[in-house]
Amino acid sequence: MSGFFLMRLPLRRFSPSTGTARFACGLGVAMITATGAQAQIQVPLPQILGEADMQIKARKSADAAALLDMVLARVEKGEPLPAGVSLATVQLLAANTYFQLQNYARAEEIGTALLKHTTTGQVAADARLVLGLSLALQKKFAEAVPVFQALEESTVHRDKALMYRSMAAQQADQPLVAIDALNRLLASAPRDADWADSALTLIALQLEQGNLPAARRGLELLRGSLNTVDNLAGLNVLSLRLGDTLLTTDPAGALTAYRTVLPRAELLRLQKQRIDRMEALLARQKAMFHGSISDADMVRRVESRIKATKEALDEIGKRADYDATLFYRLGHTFLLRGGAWEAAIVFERLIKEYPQAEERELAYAELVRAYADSGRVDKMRIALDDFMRALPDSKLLPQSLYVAAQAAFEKGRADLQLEFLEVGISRFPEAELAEFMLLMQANAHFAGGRFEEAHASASSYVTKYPEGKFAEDATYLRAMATLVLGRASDAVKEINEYLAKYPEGRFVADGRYRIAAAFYAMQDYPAAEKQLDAWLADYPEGHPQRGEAYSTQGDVYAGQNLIEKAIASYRAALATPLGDDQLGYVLDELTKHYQSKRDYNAAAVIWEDFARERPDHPFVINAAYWIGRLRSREGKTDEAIGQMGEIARRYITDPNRDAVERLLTQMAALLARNPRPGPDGVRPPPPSPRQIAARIERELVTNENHGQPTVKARVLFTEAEVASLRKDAALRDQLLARIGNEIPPEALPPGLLGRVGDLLREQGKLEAARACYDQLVLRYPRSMYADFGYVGLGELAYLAGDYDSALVHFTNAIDRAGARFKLLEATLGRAKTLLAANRLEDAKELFEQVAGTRAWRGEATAQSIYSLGEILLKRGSSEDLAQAQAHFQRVFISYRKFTPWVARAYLSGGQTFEKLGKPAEALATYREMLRDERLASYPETARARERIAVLELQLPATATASTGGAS
Amino acid sequence: MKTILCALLALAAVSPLCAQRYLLKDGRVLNHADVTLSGTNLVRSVGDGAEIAYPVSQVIRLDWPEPEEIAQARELVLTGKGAEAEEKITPIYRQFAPFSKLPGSWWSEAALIRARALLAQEKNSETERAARELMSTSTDSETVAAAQLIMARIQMLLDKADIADAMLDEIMRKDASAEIEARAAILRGDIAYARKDFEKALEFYLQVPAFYGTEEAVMPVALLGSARAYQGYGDKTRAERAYLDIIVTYPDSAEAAIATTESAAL
Repeated sequence: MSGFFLMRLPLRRFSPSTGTARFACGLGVAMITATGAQAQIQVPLPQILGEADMQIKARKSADAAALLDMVLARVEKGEPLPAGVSLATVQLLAANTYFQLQNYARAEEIGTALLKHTTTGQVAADARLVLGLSLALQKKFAEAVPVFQALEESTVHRDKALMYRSMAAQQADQPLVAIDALNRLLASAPRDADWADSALTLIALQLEQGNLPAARRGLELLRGSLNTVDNLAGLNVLSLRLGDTLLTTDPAGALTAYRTVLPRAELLRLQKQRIDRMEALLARQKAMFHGSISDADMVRRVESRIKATKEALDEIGKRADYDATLFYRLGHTFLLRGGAWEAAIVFERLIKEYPQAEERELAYAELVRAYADSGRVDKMRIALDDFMRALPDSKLLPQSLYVAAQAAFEKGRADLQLEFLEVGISRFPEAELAEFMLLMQANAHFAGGRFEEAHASASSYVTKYPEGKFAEDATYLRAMATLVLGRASDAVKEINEYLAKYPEGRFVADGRYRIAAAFYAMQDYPAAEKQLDAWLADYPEGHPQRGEAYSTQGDVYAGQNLIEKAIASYRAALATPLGDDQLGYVLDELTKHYQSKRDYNAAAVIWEDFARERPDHPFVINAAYWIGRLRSREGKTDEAIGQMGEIARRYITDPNRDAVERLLTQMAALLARNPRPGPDGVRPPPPSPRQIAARIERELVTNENHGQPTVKARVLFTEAEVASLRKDAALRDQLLARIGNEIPPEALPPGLLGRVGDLLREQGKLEAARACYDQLVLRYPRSMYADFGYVGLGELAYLAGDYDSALVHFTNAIDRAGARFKLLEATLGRAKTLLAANRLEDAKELFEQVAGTRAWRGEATAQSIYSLGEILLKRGSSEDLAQAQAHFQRVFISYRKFTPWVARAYLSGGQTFEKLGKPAEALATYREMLRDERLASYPETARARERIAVLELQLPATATASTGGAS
Repeated sequence: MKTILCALLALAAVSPLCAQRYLLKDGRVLNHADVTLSGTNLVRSVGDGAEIAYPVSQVIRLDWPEPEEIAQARELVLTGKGAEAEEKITPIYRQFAPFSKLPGSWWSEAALIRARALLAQEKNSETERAARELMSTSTDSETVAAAQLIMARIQMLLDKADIADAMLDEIMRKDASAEIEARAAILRGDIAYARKDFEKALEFYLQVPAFYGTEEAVMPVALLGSARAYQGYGDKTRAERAYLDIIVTYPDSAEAAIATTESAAL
């Protein structure tokens, strides 16, 4: 088509004032001569074509169309076209011109005629474009579809053809055709605004067709090219629709859809930019309009895109709750997908920014659930409080309270669990969930050891819901609470009531066993014996409670002093599968009864059998302990050490087996003993450390494990334990130091890492100590020794002045590791860190706790009292200063043993007197400090000496001679 | 893209989208192909060795498609290739420097990518200079905000989290785009993470997937931050899920490689 515009023919100019019709008529058919005589003058076709070209350039399409019609009519009559001009090009130009004039019927007519004789090449392609669009604009969509399909063969118009085919097919109610065209278009077309429009259309069509996975894929494709999307508002509307449709079947897809939706402010901001961009493009297109169909088409598309965008924006603008709705959908979908943290963030914002939105009630309820799901019970409680305050009568509250109670239970927060249940039951007694909550409350009380309350809740349930879903559970729980409360007789009665009401119930076997246990508790041994005999007869060999029944039978016999029968019952229990608690109990009872019979061998054999049959059981270490002890009682210490060594060797290479250290400690205890006198009554000399080391080596080291670092560490540890028991602290520290120096932390078991780390820290080898602590907390966070690691790291951070980290480590020692060994150090560590960070109130509370704990009496007390004085000193009022002074005096009077704190207390005491304006007392305090020779080397003493020099200058000689004050 | 777009539009006329033109105060238009930049002038050769000089100060607007190096360098930054990104973008940054404040100039965009490329290489002082230059030169409020964010990030890297926090407050006081808000949330998350306040860190990092779901460029960074914060918080399951999300959804990002290593150590 563009080639045709280049055609230039010699033309005669006419007056521009000449009317269009007359002008066309005159040029083509007749001319009025000067004399008025009419003469038929045939204007040559090249000249008419040239004039038509000029009219097109002058944007006088109607004139051009008339001229071209004239040409076509004359050609039809047989007149030849000029050389180089084909009929098809003239027809195409005419069709195009009529298209510009919006005379689509005529454009269709000419285009159809053209395609009858020319079906290939660029002209045919251009003609199909005009024809297809003309048909579409006359709403003959079904006819336009095949025209555009044929146009797809054109490499130039392929993308447009696909786009138009999809549009026409949509209008012709041929969605599958439209989808096919769009799929092909999106696969190959460049990613521009048209592409994005097509993608939006495809998603809408797939949605209408219910083809949700395809719609979702389309949206994901579009998400990757969002910068091409002009109609963001339309995308938002579509994404919301897609999200809503997918929500029930495909939450992941729904979430993807909702996450594509922009909040209102961002949408308006970006959409304004896009509209500005489109309008600028439109203005340029219009300015550069060349009359081509492509120009017109582009203008039309941009205009329609702007229109569609504004319509979508209007739709969004009408919805005042747009963001609230979006946030609720987002939060809800995040929650469905397990994104509890994200959901909480979204709901918090919704509630904060739209406190009156319709969605707030649901948002509150789901916020509680989001916090529950993410295990943040404190935040959950705040959310629940807010919910109850904002919407006290919400029907969703019982559900939220129930969810919260469950979450609190899972996080071990029985206090919160009971609080939520109490509120739920008392405020919503008629709610459907009240029944669940009542049973949960009974269970929670029972689990928390509040058996009276458990009994009350269970009774309340049974009264309120005698035929409820959990009536059986509540009835039995009530009886169990009574039993645990020690009211055995009442318990028997209640269990019998349960058995009468639920003869086939879930707890019948347990109930019958508990009746026996209740009789045993009442020391009614015959009744207990009878019950247990019946129980053992009625329930089969494999019953899980059988071992427990045998064990209680043993207790019943033991209660009657029938030791042989008791031993038989315990041994029967031992032959059944028992839980670890029960197993430990039975083994201990057997050991006890055999010992009471002085049958040490039988007891030792039980443990030896156990160790042989269950070599990997955690109690194997206990077995080794008892074997050692029992064989030692038989005078077979050597044999005992040998057997302990045999068990220790099984696990000695594995640093994960931290119970090995307990066994080695027991072995060390036997090795540290002085030998018994011989038959001649002479006690042999105790073995030397070298001899003990050789024995340990012999017991623990084999050819296979020789040289293994963990083994080497454990050998040194055992030697150190012996040295410790023999009060040889120097040797102990030397051996432990060798572990730290010679064995890499990776090879050390958790039981050694902490102790070695502490020793290295005391020696000032901080990095080596840190390696031990890191290894302990990172590799063995669940070890019983993990608190060594956290406290050690806390001390290192404290030394480095990193109080935030120190506080985290000390807290972890208690919260994460349970502070089994280092509770004092962790508490004191937290206290001193808080003091250093100037958090005086928090620090004070902890120091008071340490100072008030009798079991911690000692240096920790001195440090705490001193620190409490320091806190008061920092506060600085005269009353505080007086109290601080009392604290310091308490240290140097009552805790004189702990010289580092005494030195500090004297100095601080003197300084406090100075602050109080009592220089004489201050001087006396400093002088008293100097008299204590133990303090001579402390830096505080040097400081006191300086203060004395200053004060002596200030005070008269009489005052300086005074010795009173300090104490 | 540009080539294809131009081909598509060939039916119409020469598209302004494909132009590389300088528009002068007096309405004249200079094609980039016809002039060279010499000192402070655009010089056009008119034959026989004669030249016409147009002072750069006469240019009021540029009509220029986005140089393809911009997208390429942006991609390199996203994949953590800071040095390559810097090499790619620096010529564009220099080319548009004389027109840095003009509408249609790509200088701001190039300078911002360059600053981010420097940041990715941990060239802190160069990054700071680049950010300061952007703040004083760019006329685009979005770019200025982005540069301020880079400055805040530098403060954080220099262990001055309080200053970074204050700068973020200042940035967020103005209306900001979603991208700026998302980047600010990540920086706040990083600050909280450095303070070992993992819960707070999570609440910042997760704002990005929660509210800025279309900000794909920063999503892997936010997810990586959240994975680490989950780990610090003690929620390994969620940490693992976040790592997996990065690896699966953003496999070509720099964060995917880090996520693979860190998740293996979980």
